[in-house]
Amino acid sequence: MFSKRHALIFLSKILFCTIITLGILICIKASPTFKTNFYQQVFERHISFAEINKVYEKYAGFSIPFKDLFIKDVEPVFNENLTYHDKSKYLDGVKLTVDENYLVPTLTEGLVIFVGEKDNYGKTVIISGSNGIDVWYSNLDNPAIGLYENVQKGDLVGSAKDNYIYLVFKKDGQVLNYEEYL
Amino acid sequence: MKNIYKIKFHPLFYIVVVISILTGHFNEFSLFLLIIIIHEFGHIISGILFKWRIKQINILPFGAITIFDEGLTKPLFEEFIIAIMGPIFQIIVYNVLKSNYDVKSIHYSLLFFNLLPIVPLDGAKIMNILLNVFFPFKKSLLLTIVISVIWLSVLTFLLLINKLNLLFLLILFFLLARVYKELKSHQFIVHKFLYERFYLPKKYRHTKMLNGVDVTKMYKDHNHIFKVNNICYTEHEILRKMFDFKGKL
Repeated sequence: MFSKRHALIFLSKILFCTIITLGILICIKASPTFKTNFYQQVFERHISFAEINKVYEKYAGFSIPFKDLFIKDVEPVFNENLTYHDKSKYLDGVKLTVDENYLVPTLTEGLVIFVGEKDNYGKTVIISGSNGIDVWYSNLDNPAIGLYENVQKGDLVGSAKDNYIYLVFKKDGQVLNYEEYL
Repeated sequence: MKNIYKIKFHPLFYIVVVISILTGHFNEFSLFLLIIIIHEFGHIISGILFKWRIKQINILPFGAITIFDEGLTKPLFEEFIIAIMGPIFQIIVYNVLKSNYDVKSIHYSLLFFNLLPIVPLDGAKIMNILLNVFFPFKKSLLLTIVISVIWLSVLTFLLLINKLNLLFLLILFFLLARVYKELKSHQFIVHKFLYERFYLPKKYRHTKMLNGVDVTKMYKDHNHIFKVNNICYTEHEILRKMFDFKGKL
């Protein structure tokens, strides 16, 4: 059963967590620069798995034993380049006019890190590319890939809702200029 | 569920887990682990059915090995069923899972790799059992080792002509070490077999007649009668010369 020592250790852990939480909340309230920095560090940065994967595969081959060793998984049936009719700036990214219900292909290879709804963008898929840049594919009707799947360049992301999609390019939470990456 | 303490993870396994997480393949690695566990489950269930004692379940970075605590004189039929239930259970569960999970290449590759006749793998076990039907224990053990070496060289060649893969190199080194260990200790294994035949005698259905006193010509799953100069001796009498010291040690 629990001795007095165990109870004291447990209580001191709870106290320690409370102190840290309240301390951070106070700092966030007090200083706006701290708030933006903190939010960026916690909510926007992530380990760039796709980048690590690229370096690892260059020197040591595939990281899962036996995958694609003697026989391959699904053969890629969709391998396209992203084509669009028109582009214009939209919030943090670019709005591309495409065909009705266009099947959107990926721009780079990478790991899918988000599938869901984003405010002002619609159904979104965020793919973390092997160059460290996250690409948002938004205003989709139906995402065709699942969370944490690895995709190759040109794989199907989903079908566009209406006739336009939004793309946002971010690195470590900082929005990048879409002109350089399109 | 006290058997759960018998599962032991090799230290390299943790490293491979960390690598698979950092490279973003955690999804695929968990599927790989699932297939391995299903395979071992086949061995474990059939082992429990035959009332064998499980000593350890070693989970390595590229597969798992179930070690039973039952010695070398168990009936060949039981050994065969336990060895073959791993792949069969894996095939059955794969056909159930394949519509929901993307495990085709992992399943077939693992199946094919496991059925290679290289010593710690299931393929070598099954081949050893089949050899033991026709050849004496020592001869089939040596044949298994020779065939393991041949297939290991074939595998090494096949994997080296492809692009370098760290994990395959690991697998090759592991197999090489095991085959070498088996070769070095084959005398000891034969001796252990004879020891068990003497101290834990069992009655088998078939009997074999052997000429001379060479105990290394003994078969698994058979009783033996040794014929020397037209006099017949039982197995126990011949083995006694090796094992019964009667205080003379």
